[in-house]
Amino acid sequence: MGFTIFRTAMTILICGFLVLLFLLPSAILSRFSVQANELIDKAENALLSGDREAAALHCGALFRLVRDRMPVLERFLNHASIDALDACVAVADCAVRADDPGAAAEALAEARSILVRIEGIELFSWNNLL
Amino acid sequence: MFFAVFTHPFHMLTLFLRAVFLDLFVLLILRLTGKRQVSDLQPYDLLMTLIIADLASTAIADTDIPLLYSVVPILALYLVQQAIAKLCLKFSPVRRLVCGTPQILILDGVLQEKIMRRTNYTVRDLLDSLRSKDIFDVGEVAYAILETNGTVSVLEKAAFQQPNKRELGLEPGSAALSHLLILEGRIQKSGLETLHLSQSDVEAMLKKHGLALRNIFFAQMNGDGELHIQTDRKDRSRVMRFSEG
Repeated sequence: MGFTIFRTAMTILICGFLVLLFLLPSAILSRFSVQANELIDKAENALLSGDREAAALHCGALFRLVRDRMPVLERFLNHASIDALDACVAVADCAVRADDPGAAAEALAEARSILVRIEGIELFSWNNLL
Repeated sequence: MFFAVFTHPFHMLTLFLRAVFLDLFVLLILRLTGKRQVSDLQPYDLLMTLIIADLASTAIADTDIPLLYSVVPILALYLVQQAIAKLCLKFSPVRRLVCGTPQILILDGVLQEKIMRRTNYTVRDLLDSLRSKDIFDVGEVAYAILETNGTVSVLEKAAFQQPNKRELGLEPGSAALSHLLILEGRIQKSGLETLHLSQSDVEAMLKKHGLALRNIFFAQMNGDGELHIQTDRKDRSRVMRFSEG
């Protein structure tokens, strides 16, 4: 009887834990990708308009954002994809500082595609399910 | 100079702790399923156990994968298993679908070829199962039933069954369960509680027979008060039996 109650309690806790895991990581990832995409857009626009200072500012902010969120993201995302994103953002930041807008734009585009890939894999969609 | 090589002294600690965590986690999940041993498992349960083990081993070995990648599928499998177990309890058609139904392999000494072919059970497998139950002649079997967990239950024909005490008109005696009282010189509290004894009662019993608690390797007592003792002596007299009833 005691074990049955314990098992029922554990099953309810597990259900709650799973619901939390369905909601929390996707909320964190969605928020992160919105912020990152916003910064990538701003950096790309700044690069296109030749405003190197603004581009450096946004690339730096993007770099810091990825580094800040890395520990949390690695709890529920494959480390390899986070590392790849971090590498791209670091390259973009360095390229802007080294006055190489072409390399920076390329690295930013790669970072955006990695973000899209992460979202595609991690966030629920019927395509992923099958 | 030598220690300078160890720039990160706890390099393997991550792997170690992940293995410990997942081992304990899988242990908890398997205990929650309520199955004690492999022979209790239906084929479906066995499959679940194997998948859970595989999922756990993936995250143990690959530190690139977050632990949640193993934890979430294992929890999902546990919930599915619990749901199916509940459905099987409530609805017998679901139970038949998931677990199958027992199949009669021998009926009144006759092998049921059709059923054996359907269940992929060979005559040799059946003879092996019968021999393991001390039956060496198919003609002695009234029923041999292939259970859903793969074991074979056998009912011998009445003529070949061993007579029991009631049939022989013998005094049945009591079927008293024995409880562990002492193990390696230590009194076992659970045994004392079950037998409604105190530590001083046990010590008094031992004293009466000239024994000391520290010299007892193993002692158990049944509900009739029969005490079975094995001391730590190396000679033949180390096993004793007393009646304390």
